[in-house]
Amino acid sequence: MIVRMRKYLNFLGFIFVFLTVIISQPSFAQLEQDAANSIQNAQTKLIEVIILLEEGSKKKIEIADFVVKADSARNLIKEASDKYQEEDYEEALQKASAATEQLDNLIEEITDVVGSTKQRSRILFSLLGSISALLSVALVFVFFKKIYPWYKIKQLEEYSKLVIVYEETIEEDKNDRE
Amino acid sequence: MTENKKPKNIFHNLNLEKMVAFGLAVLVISSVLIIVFVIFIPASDEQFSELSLYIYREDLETYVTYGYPAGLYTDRNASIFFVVKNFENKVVYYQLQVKLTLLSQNLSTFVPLSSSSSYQMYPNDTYEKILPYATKAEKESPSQFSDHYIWEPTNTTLYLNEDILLFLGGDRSIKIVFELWKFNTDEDTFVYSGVFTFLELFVIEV
Repeated sequence: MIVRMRKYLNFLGFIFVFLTVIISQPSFAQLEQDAANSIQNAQTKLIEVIILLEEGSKKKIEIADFVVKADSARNLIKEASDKYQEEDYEEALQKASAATEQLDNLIEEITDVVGSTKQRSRILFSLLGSISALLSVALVFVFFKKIYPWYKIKQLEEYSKLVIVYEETIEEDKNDRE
Repeated sequence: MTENKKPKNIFHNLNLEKMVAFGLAVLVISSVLIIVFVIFIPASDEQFSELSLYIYREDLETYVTYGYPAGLYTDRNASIFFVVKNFENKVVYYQLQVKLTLLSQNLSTFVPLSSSSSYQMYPNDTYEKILPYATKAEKESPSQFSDHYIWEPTNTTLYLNEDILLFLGGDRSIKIVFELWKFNTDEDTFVYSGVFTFLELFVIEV
């Protein structure tokens, strides 16, 4: 009876182990796939951040702190890739997810700063535009009220100095020919 | 009694039409000059990356640019430190590749060493770093080792193994080349920057 029970338990144990292996197999493959996707996603986000940083440097935004954060995320992606190579997919997934989160926050921060800078430059350019428009109007006003009348008066003065000189010699030449 | 009238100003003798013509000419010439300078002559602010190699002197507790190893032994590694400085006026994602090649191999600022003519020493573990750029003032008087735009001295272990000896064949005169690559966001990959430096070494089998 005891021997039969032991055989039965052994059989149950074997079935349990077999089923565990069969069930865990797809989840292990799934974990590997998830880790790979997460690393890929983090790398895409990193490139997005670099593009934003390049644009930020063109707009003369203070980006040194953002670069440090981006480099830390890059390091995390590197660690995730190393863990993936070592087939530690769970750790790789965790690190890649942490990097993605960091990069998402960074994208948000950079976009906010770029947005506020754009807003500031928009206000500045509007102000400059308004001032130059006012100056132009004032200049046109001054031109028609002061400069143009002065020019006309001066022109008349200049022309009034002109003297009509009749070329009498031409008439004399004609008489000579006749 | 003589009248001695002096002209009140320089334009006294010029008549009105000449003054107007002169003013217009000055306006046109200055406008043309401004357009030429602004559009056709770009700002002469140089953009470049700097790569240099150092040796760490423990007795002096500093990095020096002399006393580089002349030989590379088969039974021990050598240690070299590299430093990269970003004077590119923009953020750069750098990668440094370390390659071993024959001493006779020519190096180019246009084309990197190919895999057929060199042995890549860290194929799966390349050195990478994102660096901010130096300001104009920092460019004029740069720091030596430590600042936000500097990739601080990073240790590289130079080694020899069976694969390298096989690659070299019978040749024992080598170059260890440090190539600087930059990430290109348009091409979505690292591209060779044309910046490189190298050490000439002699392989010593022990």
